[in-house]
Amino acid sequence: MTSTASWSDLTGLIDRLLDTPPEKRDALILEMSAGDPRRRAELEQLLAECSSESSVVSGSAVERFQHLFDDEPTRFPETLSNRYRVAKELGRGGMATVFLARDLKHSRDVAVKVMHPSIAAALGADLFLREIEIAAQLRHPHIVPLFDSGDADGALYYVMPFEEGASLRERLEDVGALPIDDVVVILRDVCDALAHAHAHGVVHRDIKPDNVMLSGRHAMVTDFGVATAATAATPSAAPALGTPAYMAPEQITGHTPVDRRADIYSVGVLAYELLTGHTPFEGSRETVLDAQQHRQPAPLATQRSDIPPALDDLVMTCLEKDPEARWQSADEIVSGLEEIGRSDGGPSTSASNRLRTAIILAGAIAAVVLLAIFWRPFASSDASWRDRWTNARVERITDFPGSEVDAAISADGQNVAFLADRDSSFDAFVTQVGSDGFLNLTNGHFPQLFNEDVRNIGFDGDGKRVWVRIADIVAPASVWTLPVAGGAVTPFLRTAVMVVWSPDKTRIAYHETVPGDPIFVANPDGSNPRKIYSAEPGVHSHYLAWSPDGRFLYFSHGLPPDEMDIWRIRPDGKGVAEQITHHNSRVGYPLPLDDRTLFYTATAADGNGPWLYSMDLKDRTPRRVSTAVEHYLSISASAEIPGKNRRLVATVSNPGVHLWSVPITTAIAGEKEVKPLGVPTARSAAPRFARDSSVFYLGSLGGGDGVWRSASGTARQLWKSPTGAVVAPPAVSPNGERVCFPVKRDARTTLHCMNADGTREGTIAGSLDVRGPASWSPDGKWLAIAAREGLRVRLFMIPAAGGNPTRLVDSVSSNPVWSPDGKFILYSGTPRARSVPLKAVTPDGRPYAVPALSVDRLGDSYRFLPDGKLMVKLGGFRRQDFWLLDLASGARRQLTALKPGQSLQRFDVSPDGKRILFERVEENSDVVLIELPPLKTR
Amino acid sequence: MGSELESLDDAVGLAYRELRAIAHRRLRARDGRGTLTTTALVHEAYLKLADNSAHDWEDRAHFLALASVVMRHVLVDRARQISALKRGGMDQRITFDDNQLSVETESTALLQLNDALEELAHFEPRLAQVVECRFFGGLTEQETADALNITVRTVQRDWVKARVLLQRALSA
Repeated sequence: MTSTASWSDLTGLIDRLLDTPPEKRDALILEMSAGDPRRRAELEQLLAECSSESSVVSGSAVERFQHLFDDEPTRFPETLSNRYRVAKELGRGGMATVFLARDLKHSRDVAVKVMHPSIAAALGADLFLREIEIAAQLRHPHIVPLFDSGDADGALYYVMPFEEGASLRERLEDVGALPIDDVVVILRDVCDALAHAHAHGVVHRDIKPDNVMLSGRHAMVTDFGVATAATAATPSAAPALGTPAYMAPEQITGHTPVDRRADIYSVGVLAYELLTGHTPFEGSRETVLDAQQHRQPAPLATQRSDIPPALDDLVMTCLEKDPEARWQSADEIVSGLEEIGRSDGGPSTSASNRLRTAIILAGAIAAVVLLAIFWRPFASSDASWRDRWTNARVERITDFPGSEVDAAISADGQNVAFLADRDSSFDAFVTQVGSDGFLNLTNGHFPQLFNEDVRNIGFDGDGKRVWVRIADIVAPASVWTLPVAGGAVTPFLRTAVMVVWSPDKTRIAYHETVPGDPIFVANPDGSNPRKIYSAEPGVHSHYLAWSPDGRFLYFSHGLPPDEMDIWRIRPDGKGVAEQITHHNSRVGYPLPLDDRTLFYTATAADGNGPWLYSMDLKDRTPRRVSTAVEHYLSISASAEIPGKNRRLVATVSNPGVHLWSVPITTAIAGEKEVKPLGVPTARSAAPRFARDSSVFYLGSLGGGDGVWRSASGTARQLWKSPTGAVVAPPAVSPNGERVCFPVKRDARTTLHCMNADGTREGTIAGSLDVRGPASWSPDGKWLAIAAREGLRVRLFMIPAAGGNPTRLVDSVSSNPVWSPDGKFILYSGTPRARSVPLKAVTPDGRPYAVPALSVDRLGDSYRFLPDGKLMVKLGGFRRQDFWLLDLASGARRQLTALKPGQSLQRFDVSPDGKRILFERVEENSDVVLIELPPLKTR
Repeated sequence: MGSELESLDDAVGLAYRELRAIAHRRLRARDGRGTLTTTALVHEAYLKLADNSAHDWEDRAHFLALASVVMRHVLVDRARQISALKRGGMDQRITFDDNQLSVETESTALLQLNDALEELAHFEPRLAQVVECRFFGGLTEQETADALNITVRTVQRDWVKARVLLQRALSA
């Protein structure tokens, strides 16, 4: 230990140094060290220590060491054993431990809750028991009764029936969110119980899933009186008691009196959790407490599509910050819930005047696509819109195997065109509405009809011709047309990717593929083109659409595929481009239905979707329109013709994303050798192996993706972002101890790292707006990752222990993969359409030669085998296979021959080099027709 | 020092016992999602004592200082208990998951800090008191200054000195 003598030296020195003004300290140190460099270094070191944070005595000792108190077992009181024979401990909560015991007198199983001794000591037995006894007076079918309570030598206990069933907490842990019907029943029971208790002057104060027991479909509330007793014993400590995630703002601040409306708030939190699987606010204690008071919960409709609007309303009203704004009694909630339970379709007549429409498909077979198009209140004052949607008719019009995409309908509503694939080769099809036949317009002559970032097919102004985007390996895309009834395809616009006719048919608008995607307006025959808009190079404008009055051109603008938004410009080129939506996600297919209403498809902030959205152009609020789980891949509408039905067509899909494995052998593996990875997640993607052959991946049970780990046949979720989305495969460190992955929240994506068991998660190199997965150096000291600098994407290196990132490559670069010998990093260069060239760089930034190769831009295209050979994914759209590539010699060998038609996105090679685990997306999409009755003229 | 305080029959002893009890309850009432701040604890205890005791705790500052001492003792006692258990004590529930290991490491760290703090108190008592108030008690610079009857500037300087000395003692 340090001697006290030098301590007094040190304190003296500290005084001398700190009493000197900062700008004079260097000079003082020089003077004091009198030419001795070691002394000088010591003094500088001391000065540095004065201003640096101590790692030991920083923050609050209480915060830091409080978990030392986590582990105290509570013993079953001796004196109770002559009445209750304890069988086992059932669980421990914050305030009490629950034991299963046998009531010897009545020969029944009971649960005995024993308060933690120190809590009992501090509370004071009398006060506590008095409150418990008040609560014990409550007799209600949905309140767990109290059999007994008392003080056993200082141990406060109470006894209730042992419920075989689980608590709501356990059920939530099992299934995540609950079906709507169950939620309504449970909430009704809980509120019924609360109404009874409130009427008797008892406030629960600690409503949460742990305190709701399930018995069959019904719920019972337990632990009435406990929180009240504790609070009564220490009224000023009320803010510190309770579970932050469920506490009403006034319970936290203590500013206004806490009454039964605090219970109502907690019911709102409970309902929110039952519906979405998580509470409105998650995170650290401080974060949650602050959020309860100051932040709004994320809207329910953006997280789950099938919530009836009345229920949504009901829950959000419970969650009002101001107790005055909530339901004033649990009875009101019960009435509301009963009404929701009754209404099962058709317009509801609730006081809030919402409209809900459930539309069942006609003529569906095999894969039923159930559409519940729900119409939230249009700001539009036009009641006729609501009526039209109430009476809409929906019909699935394709039942091909494979996928249909990009459905379009002619302005007169007579014909529908779309692209459909068989064996990953797309053809253009047309069908007349009302007929059963489909006409193949292209018959395999044009192999590259589909580009998923743009519109590829549509009708001309008269609806007599169909235009398609034709591209081949040699030339960039151009627009061609052919008759609706079939026939020869003739070139139309040489440099355009898509074209759209104005509603009055006097003009066309199109965009080109040169950098900046310039937009042109021209005569309907293509003559007299005027460029009206161009973005910066690298920024794209797709999916042009005219407003019905011809005053605006809407388009999707940004960085494809998932940093886009809807903008609009005036077709005369005057004025500036105006941003309409602010999703910064996968947004497309703007469809102005009238001068006030815009439809479009977009993915949500959590990465789910795309869904169908609407926006009222006056109030600019986006509202999600589609409520079922299907994705909306496209939307198109006929013109509004007075007296005629209005028709919309949408491409709707139910994609499945799963992980499959295929062995690496000397022979070529086929579909027979492909096996699914057995994991419990409904969706599994983005796999990465750890050295011990466990697999980290992104998965979900129905909500947003979390980071999961599968090992020895079991899988568990390690981490999930409460507010953002994990957007790329997790990178596992070479020693298997750390995992890093990008999380996208709003417009920014940051790199998060955590231990491999899910603990100690935090951001690293937070200044970088990252893109795609990270890659560890083999020595575990560095992470390579691409990040956005303005419009460009560049590779960076980050020290794994923390520190500033440094740029590695000066040109466009992404998707880094470190070689097993650590000598170079593979990456993708400047993209051309869907492919990128393979390049490499050494860790100190010098180019490294690799064989010339073009690979797919999206997902993983290259991963190393342990021996340094490269596993490459090659092939075209939805027709990919794995190849082995020797980087030194350039020799390659095909490893798989998989069935085409599905999209292989990300993959990884096992540590023993014997198998590949890959993510496959099965689209399962169909074209759906939505028919609305004619507009009523006034 | 703890046992001395506990045996005192006067208001200080009472306050000490009260604070200890409350601290224990608070710390154990956490269920992973509970809150705990020294402020809440002190606030609660202060009101309770002000109600119940004849002693006039007008001088809130001194009360806060006492609360800080209590927090230190409560935490250190718990750390000692955990260390004793790990050294082959009577606790039959021994698990080796990550959580347990970190609890053990944290207990050791706290005990080492406590030892260093004792040494610091021998050298210059006020430095240790400042650490008690700021780190264990979570008091602000002003509250610490009031509690120890010194200026804020002295609190700041003492805090720097204490931190530097402790850091060096613990890294040695």
